[in-house]
Amino acid sequence: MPRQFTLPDLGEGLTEAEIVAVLVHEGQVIDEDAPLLEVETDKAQVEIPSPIGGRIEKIHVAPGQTVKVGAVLVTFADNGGPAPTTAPSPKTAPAMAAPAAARPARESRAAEGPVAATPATRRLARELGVDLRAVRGSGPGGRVLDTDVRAAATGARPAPAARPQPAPAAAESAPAGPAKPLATIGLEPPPLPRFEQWGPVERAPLSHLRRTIALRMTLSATLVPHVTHFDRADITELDAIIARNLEAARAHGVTLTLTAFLLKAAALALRAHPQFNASLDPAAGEMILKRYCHLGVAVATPRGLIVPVLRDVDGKPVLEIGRELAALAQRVRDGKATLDDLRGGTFTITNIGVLGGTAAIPIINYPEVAILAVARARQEAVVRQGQIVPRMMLPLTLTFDHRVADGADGARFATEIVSLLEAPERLLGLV
Amino acid sequence: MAKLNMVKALNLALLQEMERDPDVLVIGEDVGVDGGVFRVTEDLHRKFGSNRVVDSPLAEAGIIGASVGMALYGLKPVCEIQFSGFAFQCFHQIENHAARYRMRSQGRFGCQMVVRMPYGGGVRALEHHSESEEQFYSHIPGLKMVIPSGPRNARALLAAAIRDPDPVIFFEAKALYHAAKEDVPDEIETMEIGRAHVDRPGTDLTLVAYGAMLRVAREVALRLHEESGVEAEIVDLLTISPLDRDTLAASVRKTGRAVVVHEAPRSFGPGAEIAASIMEGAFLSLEAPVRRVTAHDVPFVGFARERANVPDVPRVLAACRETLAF
Repeated sequence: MPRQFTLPDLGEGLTEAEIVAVLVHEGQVIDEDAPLLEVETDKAQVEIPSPIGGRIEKIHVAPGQTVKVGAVLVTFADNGGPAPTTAPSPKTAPAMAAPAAARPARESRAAEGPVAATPATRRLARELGVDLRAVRGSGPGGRVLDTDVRAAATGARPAPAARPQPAPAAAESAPAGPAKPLATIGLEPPPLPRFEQWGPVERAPLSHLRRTIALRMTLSATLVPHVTHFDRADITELDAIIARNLEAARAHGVTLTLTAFLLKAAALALRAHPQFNASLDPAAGEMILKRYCHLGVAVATPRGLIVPVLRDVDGKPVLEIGRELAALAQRVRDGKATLDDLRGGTFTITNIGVLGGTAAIPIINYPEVAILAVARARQEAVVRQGQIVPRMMLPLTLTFDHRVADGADGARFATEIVSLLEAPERLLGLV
Repeated sequence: MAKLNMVKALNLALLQEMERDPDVLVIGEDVGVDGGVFRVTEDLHRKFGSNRVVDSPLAEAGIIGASVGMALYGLKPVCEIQFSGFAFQCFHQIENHAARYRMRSQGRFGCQMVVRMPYGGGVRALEHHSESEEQFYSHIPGLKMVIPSGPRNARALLAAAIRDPDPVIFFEAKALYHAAKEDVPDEIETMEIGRAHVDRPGTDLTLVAYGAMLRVAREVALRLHEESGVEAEIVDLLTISPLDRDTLAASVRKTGRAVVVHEAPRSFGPGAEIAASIMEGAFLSLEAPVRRVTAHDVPFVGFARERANVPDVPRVLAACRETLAF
């Protein structure tokens, strides 16, 4: 009996993946665990190993194609071997070892007519770009709730299905007050003009990563009231320390960079300003203050922007931060980052300095509430004690969510980062 | 400023409008010497005489028919029908004539008259004395349908109805006549017809009520707040037709949930129009179906069973809990 191998549940609310490469051909006999396909999800590019050994009878997918979880990828000819009981998790992505049973088949849901959801939930799904058919409802009778849609939108695992609630009429105790979602904004882009009327055009489909970036940025820019604060840090001293210790650090296998110091400065400043190391739960009307400090670093790759995450930055020395950062960035550029490398961030830093510019206003990496951008540091003529002196000045831009903090809070937080950068001994843990 | 019950407040409105405008007159059964079956017209006969406070024969069609004629000649009659259950005798005059003059005359003539009728249950009355039939009048184009909920707005709305250039059906809840006193200003006060009033602001649920049901809605809102911190917003319609759709939609766009309460029977009652209006104006905000708590689809039952028929606090509370838990 031929056996079919389907796209396993990739976890984390991921519902589809793009086939990057097919590493086998029809008729080929492969061993168990041999690389079968390379796929790219919203979060990472991963290799899917073969669940069994055997002869490949048919390949159902082609590079460039986007497939849903549960779609048939490959059919194996019957060779009498044991049938795969469960789909294996991709080897290079330990984070994807989620139970495949977590997601019901979509087809059965589609056959039953419209998804059960109130009009308010439908509007929320439309605004967040969530396909209701792909969301598992945790409400009464499998109804999709606002919380399910929000979980799907942020890529978080949906809440486990609530235990069946008693019929309201039979409920003796009064229900708790309903959640109070903040007002949302419904924005539909107007139709585009026919550009062909002015000249020839070309249309190119967006890559999977591009679509993810577009969705996340639209979500953030639409839902979050952004406010931006500008400042400059005098890093003359820090710059000198980096230059002096470059070789010594290299002997330890570490390339000392400004970004490592920035991460340390941000981590220490976040300790004093926890409201920037947080998320907002609009449905509950609560701030979620995170008692951990995992910092995202924007990395430009040929495929697009990716933000890997460094864990527990506040407790690590700068040298260690530099070491981990280099390794992480390399994994990202090679497309080998795991899901764990890419999620769980609490605050993001983006350093566009190598590319130039005098300042940039970043968009918050939702559901975080703040992001720090730095542009290129330059020698500038600065007045110190009545004298014009050359100093190395670093432009900083802090963008944060005005729902959780005010301009004064942002100014204090940015000032703290600046004063840390201007006193490198604090970053090195000397004082 | 005086503390008045609804009977006294309505009496004050009639007195002041009659003093202000010599074209205003009162007509109905026993409205003159006796001062009306509920004493709303008390003392008016003594003050204004038989030409302006007319005791009519026991003939509802005659009261309205004569009033339509007077209105066409420029007078402003305020008719009293003793109980709304008696009004079918004059329904022809109201629907076929009073409501149609604006349309018939291509907008040139109105039929400036008010028809006051006590309505509703809760006073242990006989058959034909407890009906709630606002849906008939609300359905007729050309009529306005007003139902106040307390002494102060009753006085202000009656004054506005008397000044309205078109016919206004004015329902007075018998259960409210002597129920509570309110401060009513001495100087003349009017309220805009067609405008609902947010009686209690809230964020979690919209309770739509009017007339005697406002008291029930207030009690329910209080209980919801006490038992679960739910903030119900109460919309007191005051005018049934024309319906203030904007206020309804704005409220439900905020709360996402609505329960409509009325004493009229359920099917094809005002609740159906209100629910449809909410659906049209706030569809994408709805977290739950709009629920109706109404009298049952039966002729108004005898007084021994009327408590089972008219919506009360436990029934409305149950509907609210279901809506909140949906």
